[in-house]
Amino acid sequence: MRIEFNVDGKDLSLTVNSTKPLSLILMESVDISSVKTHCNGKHCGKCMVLFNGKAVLSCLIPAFALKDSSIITFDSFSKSRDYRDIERAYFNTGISPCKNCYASQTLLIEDILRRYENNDFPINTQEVLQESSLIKCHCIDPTGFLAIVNAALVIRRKRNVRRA
Amino acid sequence: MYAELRSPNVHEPQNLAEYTNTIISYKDNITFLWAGGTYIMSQPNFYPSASANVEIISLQKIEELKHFQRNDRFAEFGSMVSLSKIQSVGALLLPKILINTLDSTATKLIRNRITIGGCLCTPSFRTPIASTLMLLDANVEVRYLKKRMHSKWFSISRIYDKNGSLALPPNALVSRIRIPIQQFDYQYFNCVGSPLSESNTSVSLAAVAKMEQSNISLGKLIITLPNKGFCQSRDIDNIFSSLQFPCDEGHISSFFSYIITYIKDNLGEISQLQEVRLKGMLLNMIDELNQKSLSM
Repeated sequence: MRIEFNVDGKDLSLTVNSTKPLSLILMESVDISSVKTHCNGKHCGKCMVLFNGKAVLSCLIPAFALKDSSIITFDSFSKSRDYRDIERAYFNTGISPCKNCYASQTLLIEDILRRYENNDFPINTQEVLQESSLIKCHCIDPTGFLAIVNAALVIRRKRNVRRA
Repeated sequence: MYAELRSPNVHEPQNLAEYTNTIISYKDNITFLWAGGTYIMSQPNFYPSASANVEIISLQKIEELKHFQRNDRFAEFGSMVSLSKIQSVGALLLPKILINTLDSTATKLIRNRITIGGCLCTPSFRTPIASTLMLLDANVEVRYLKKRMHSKWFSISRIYDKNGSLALPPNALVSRIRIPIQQFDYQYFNCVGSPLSESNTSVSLAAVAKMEQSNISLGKLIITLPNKGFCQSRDIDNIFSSLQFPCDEGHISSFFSYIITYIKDNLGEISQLQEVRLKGMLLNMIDELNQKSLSM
């Protein structure tokens, strides 16, 4: 089937199998370097992308659901201003993900930040700890992940205040 | 890769009338309904699949299946409402046990994609959400084709057979879920292991009770073994209701051995790990009830 969607700001029109997972499309047809694995839906968590602004596991999104959607991968996200906040949080806390899960962890943190950046609600610790278990990698423990999220949120909120 | 595979046809009806027309047109073909897709996409041989000659009916654009309404007695959700949406709209309304069950299901990111209808209709394993809804006496509206389209309300326990397998007619669609709003004095839910990826070892326990001082006046308990089915029995509920709190070790061990015997007789052998996990949960629940009875 023919699908039209937007990847990293570029409009694409592809003819693919209607049930082909997004992770395979990004790897084989679009040549995105940040998506490296296809776990066949085993929830390894290493194929994270922002799908219409929300983090999803790309191995769980079929091609037919992509029509007119907007996908942001780590390739383009790493050039954005939002990424700098998370990068600074990694630096400030001294905790950084390994290169295998760096892209996914960063996009997951960005998704959490987007939920909290425009309000003053305190972070739901339990929810963030649960989210940290999504990516099957042992490079960051849940408390470290929580520390990064807290640090990044402080930086992001400060930046939003300055911008306002 | 796999470019030569035939691509399954995808139908995206916009409303239930269109869905009915689609299902009637393709009633002789192999069709499968696509809700959130989390379960289907997690199957190891999903893509590339040898049986690509299927018609996929995606329910994602049917507005009627995304509605939510409530009154004093019940809350009603369309089957395409996601679990995270139910969590957010029902946080102050739905029984706590259901919110706890939703909380323990995957992570928020995955819950955004899982739909309640899809959760009830997974063919190869049973989810704790189904058992919690059973405990709360929830009903589902099922639309099925029999010369023409019919719709009927069923109790959730009736959409599964006694082995816990899905017993819906072919091409049936769960369109709405009605959850009674009722309060209990005690609600317990615990789930260990992921029902999707560790169905052989995962186990969950849900219980509700109305209490009068240190006695249970109405107690209901359900155990979910994702690979086997549900364990719910009036006998177990009666024993649970007859327990006197604080409960001593002897009563707990006889209660536990009755449950294990019941499971082995009705659902077959369970793994050692499931047995240990179940015992831990029961002890935890009785412990909480003991504390509650002592603080009354």
